[in-house]
Amino acid sequence: MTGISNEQCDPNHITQRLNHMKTNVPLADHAVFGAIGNTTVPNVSDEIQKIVAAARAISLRVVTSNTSVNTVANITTAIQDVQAQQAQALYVCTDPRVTTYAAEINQVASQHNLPTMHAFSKNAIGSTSGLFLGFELTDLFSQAADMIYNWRTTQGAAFPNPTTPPQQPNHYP
Amino acid sequence: MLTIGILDPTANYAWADCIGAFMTQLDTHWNNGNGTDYTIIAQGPNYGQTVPQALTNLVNLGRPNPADFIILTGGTGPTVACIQATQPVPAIKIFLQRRASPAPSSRRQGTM
Repeated sequence: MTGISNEQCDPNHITQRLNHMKTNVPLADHAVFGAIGNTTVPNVSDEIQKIVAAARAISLRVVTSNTSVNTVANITTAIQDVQAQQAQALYVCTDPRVTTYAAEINQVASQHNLPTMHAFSKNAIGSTSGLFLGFELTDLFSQAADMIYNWRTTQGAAFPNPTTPPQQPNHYP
Repeated sequence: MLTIGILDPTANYAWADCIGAFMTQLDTHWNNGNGTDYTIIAQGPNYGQTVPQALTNLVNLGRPNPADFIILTGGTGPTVACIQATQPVPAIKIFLQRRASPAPSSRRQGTM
C-alpha cells in the first residue's frame, strides 16, 4: 500500500497553521488557542499532542478538551471547555466527522465569539474567520487517480508496496 | 476494464466532491468521459459494514474480476490493519500519516 499524506500530523504544517491563525486573527497578547477534534481517532490524538508542542515552540499556549468532537452533542461541550480555559480561537483538527459537522462547529464557535482555523477550505465556509490552511480534499483524490493511471500505463511495473513512502500533495502552486 | 474499489467513509458533503474529482481525473487521463475504461465499486460503513468487512467485500464483489485497486479514505483506521485487510490488492490510502515535508507553496491557505 502507498498513499498520500495531508500532513495533518506534520509539525511544520501544524506550525504554519498556528502562524496563519496568529497573523489573521486579532488576538490579545499571550494568546491562547483551543485545539478540538474527534480524539477517538488516533491521528487526531497525535495531532493535538503535536499542536501543543508546536505552539510551545512559538510561544503560544494551547488548551484542549477531554470531550471528543465525535457527535453533534459534544461540539458545544468541547468548545465551552476550551473557552473556559481562556481560549481565544479554535484550531480544529481534521477527520471525517469534523468535515460532516463543520457547519455546526462554526455555528457554535461563532456563538462563543471564537474564530476557527480549519485544514480544508470548505470546512471554513460559514465560520466567522474563514481561516484554513491545508491541502484540498479533491486534490488528494485527483492525485490518487494520477497514481492509478500512471501505474496502468506502465504495464508490468510493480505497484507501490507497503514500504513505499506516501506521495506529497502536489497542487496549488 | 479496470475495477477500482473505494472504501466509502463517513458520509459528508465532501464525499461526492472527492469521488467526482477522482473520476474526472481518470476521465481526463483516458479521455473518454464516460467511464468505460474503469468501473468503481464502493463498500463501507455507509452500508453498515465494518472496515474489514468492507475491504473483503470490495475484493469479492468484483469476482471474477476483483478490484484492481482499493482507495482507502479518511476514517479507515490504523494503516497496518488496512494493509492486512487489502492484501493482495494494491491500495492507495488518502490521508496516510507519515513523514513528508513538502514545499510550503503546495499548500493552500486563505480566508473565505
